[in-house]
Amino acid sequence: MTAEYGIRVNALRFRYMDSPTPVLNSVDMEIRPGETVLLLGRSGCGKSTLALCLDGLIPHEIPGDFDGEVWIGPYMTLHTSPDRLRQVVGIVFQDPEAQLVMPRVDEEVAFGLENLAFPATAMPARIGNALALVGLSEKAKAWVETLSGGQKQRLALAAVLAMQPSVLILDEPTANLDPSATLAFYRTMEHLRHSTKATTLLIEHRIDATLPLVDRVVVMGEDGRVITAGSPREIYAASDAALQREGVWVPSSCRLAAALRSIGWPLEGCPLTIAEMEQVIRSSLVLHAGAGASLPIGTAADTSHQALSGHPDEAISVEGVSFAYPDGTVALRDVHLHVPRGSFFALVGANGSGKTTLAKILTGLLPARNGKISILGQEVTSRNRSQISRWVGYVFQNPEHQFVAERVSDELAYSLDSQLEAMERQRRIEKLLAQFGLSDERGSNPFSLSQGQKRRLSIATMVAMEQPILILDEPTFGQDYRSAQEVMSVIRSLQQAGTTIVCITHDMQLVADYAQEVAVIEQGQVTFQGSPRALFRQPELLERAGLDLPPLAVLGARLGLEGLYTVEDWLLWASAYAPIVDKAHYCRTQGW
Amino acid sequence: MSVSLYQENDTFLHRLNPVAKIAAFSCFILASTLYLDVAVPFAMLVLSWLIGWSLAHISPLALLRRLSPILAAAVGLTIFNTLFYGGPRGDPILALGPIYIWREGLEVGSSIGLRILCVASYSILYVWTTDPGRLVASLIQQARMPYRLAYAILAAYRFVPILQRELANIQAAQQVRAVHLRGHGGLFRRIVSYSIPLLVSGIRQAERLAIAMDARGFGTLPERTYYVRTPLRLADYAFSIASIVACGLLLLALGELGLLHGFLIGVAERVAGAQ
Amino acid sequence: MAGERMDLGLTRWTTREIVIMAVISVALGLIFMAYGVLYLALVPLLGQVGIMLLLGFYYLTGILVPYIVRRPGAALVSSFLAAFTELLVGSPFGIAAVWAGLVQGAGAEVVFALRRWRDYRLPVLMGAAVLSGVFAYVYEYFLLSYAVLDPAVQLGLFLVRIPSAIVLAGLLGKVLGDALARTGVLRGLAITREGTRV
Repeated sequence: MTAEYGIRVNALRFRYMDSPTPVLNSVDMEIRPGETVLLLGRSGCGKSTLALCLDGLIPHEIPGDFDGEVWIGPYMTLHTSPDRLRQVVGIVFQDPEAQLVMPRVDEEVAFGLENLAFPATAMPARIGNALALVGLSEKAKAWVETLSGGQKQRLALAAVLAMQPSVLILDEPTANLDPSATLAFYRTMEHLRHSTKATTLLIEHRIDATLPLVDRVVVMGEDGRVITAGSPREIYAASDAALQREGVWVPSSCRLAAALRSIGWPLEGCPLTIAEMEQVIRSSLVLHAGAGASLPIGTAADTSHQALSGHPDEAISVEGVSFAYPDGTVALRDVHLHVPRGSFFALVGANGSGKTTLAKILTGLLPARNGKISILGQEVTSRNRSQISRWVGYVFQNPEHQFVAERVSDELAYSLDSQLEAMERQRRIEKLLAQFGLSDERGSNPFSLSQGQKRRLSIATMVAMEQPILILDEPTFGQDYRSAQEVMSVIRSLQQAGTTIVCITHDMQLVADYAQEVAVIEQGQVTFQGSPRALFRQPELLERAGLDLPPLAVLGARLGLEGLYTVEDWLLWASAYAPIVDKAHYCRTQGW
Repeated sequence: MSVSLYQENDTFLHRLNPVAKIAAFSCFILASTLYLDVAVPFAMLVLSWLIGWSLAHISPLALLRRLSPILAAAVGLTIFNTLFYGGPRGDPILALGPIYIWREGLEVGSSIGLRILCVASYSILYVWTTDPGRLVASLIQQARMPYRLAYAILAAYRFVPILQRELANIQAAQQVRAVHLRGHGGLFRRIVSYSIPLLVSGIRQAERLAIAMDARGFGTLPERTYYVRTPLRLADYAFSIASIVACGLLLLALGELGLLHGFLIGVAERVAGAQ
Repeated sequence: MAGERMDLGLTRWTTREIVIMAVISVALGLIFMAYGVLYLALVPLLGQVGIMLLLGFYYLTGILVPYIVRRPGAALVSSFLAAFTELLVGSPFGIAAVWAGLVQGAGAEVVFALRRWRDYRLPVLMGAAVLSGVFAYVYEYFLLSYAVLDPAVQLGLFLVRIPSAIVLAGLLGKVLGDALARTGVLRGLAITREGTRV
């Protein structure tokens, strides 16, 4: 392997051309040779810009005001030729669709080597090695377009590894992947840690899988500075609440530990992984309840989930529906589904399992081939299919696809009934703007909003049409902790106001936290419908569908406890466990 | 969904250098546009089936099936040229009220209709048998296209399926917002309302792709090396020369058979003289 | 700006400009394919001459892309790429469409060149669209042997496309370009740096 270089950043400032304010404000950072560092911060805080600076694309290719120093080993990026930098630093980006150039897999790996005028005769060996490292050897001659998202990301990694860089930067490499593809990517990364010694900077939102891989964590604040840096333990022990406020995801184990501590559970240390959390709970039990004490059994009452029984009628009922695309691909096979009125219904499955096809059928965008669909008790026929949009709203995964106007307020006006008189119209728009936190953006162009704002606007345009059923496709996709929370609280309040929510997702913690009913789709078939609790009791079913248990459910399973899937579940469980928890204290903190 | 219509195989036509192949095919297409006789485009059309069948194992039926949607356009063009024929002519063979139909018009019209089928047939054969990676490599290596420009073609190629999916999504997404229910503006309005989201999301992806390309050293050196080499082989020269010879012989043979009259416009006058 | 650039005529292109040009061309190529269905369906209604009223839309690429990136060669290359996309996705006119793309693009390029690639005001865009139409007419004159047609029809085929080019390529190019600029995605490109001033 090539020489080991560390990274040093001194007083780095950067402002994009055409932007009034700098993104990076005097960033100082050091990464030692061979170290793996996780960079955290909310979306838009400048993490990706910092990555581009380390890579040397800033200032060489991207124009703007650059000030300060970035050193990669002995090279200061500003004074090093781009072709030299390209050999030293490699970067993998987030979007699997927008970082691959060539039609075939082996050609893609060759692309970087070709650009640096690497001799053609030596390419096959390098390409072969790189593809072997990421487990894509059999795909060498395949078309890039036929790869799955996860395979594309591993290909992007291989293309970088073929150049044998000393420094590797990964900018949210799994943000667009489903759980099983994410797992495969990080398995590859773990394997690489042993076979290459590249200094690695990793940017990630979802950190449960990544923390075990990193030596240190660096946190950036919204003002474009480094707030804190240290080992994961130091960082999370010191300030997990502060990090959550910063919009940074905190490992589920830390979130749970903080919650348990807040009700007086005497937890030691800061568990970073579920495995550590398991140890911590076991040892605190042994410590406080005596060696022979058995674990308390999970008896958490099923609170939220009983509310449903009051609404026996169905918002959506699907009986034996199948669907095949014109090219013959069968997307759905004999699907049965029952969405209770007023519920929060989750539709889960791996990418490509048929979730979105089903949603399109439910919104009348695609015709069902056979079977029967009823919405709010009315059977959908070919005649009234175009009317479905009156009952069912659909928030697409990419909010921009639904934008039709040039101003946020016009976007909402477009959704309102054109019969409304002007005053009423204006009043409704104002109300929606306030409800969705967009009052300050009423005159902005919808396309120029932040990710979270765009998502909220797209939901608002649907809410404005006042349909009783709302389908949302991956509403928290690729968002930081804070905007994901904001979006989910909006959705929850809609549900409380009576809207039936159907949420397509593969975020199982979201299912645990919000859903009352869940259906699993696997290769076009519904293999499960029931409560999340019942689902989490069948981990083998989840695994087959390419999904995973939410982290807190994994913890419960490891401890032999059933029914503990959310922080609230665990708190209830803990409060029932007298030997350790001071009940009075618990009740106080819960406001009982 | 496939990226484009390329059908992977390993035949003579697939192995040909893409630039040599387009030169040869252009030669057939050009020949079909030089004459106003039915025989020439028809011969070239049949030749395309023969080439596909013998050199790429593509059955003429498969090509014909792919041509069927274009048939309507070809027939339309034939009718149009027949009705509005303004060249030299004899007596009308048919009179429909004020509209006259001339034999020459019908011939020329059919010739032009066949010409379109001929263009389509060679185009399909080309796309079916040409690996896009090799096409771009040979545009750079043989046609001396600047490599940064040639890679715009590859980027374009990558974006075709991505944007096809996006366009379908946008149509659906806007349908959900009941865009189709509103009457105002019609076509013009709809073009704008689909185009903006499509272009915006395309441009965002283009930006990311450009950064990814820069990050892998695209354009840092004036000369780069090539993993895929597309040298011109004996077969490429042979096929190109054979194509030109075949064109010439075919035209000669048709002439001997007395099937050639109208070379471009000038010779059309000879038809006038002959009557 | 640093970095090696593509030399295409007079000034140097960035990778970003190249890829954005490619993606706009592809997007329009796909829209043209969809438009083509409508176009062919309307031929019986409007006739081969009347349909020329809709023809101008096909010249849009060679107007919109130069309006956005403002580089020598933009009209020519983008028209070619849009046509190439049509070939890839199976346009009936295939190879002939690629030639047509080059010819149309050359027409627009001539007008931009005459203004030294500095003037992108509406009349210039419309002029470029008109010359695209003129060049395309000459090309079709040979490909489809317009010479054999009745002279009045020939004239019709030529004249009817002109207003269409002015509106559906020239004006629409500006409208779309400005609308895109307002979304913020064109930050840093010539269209937002220079606005529409000369």
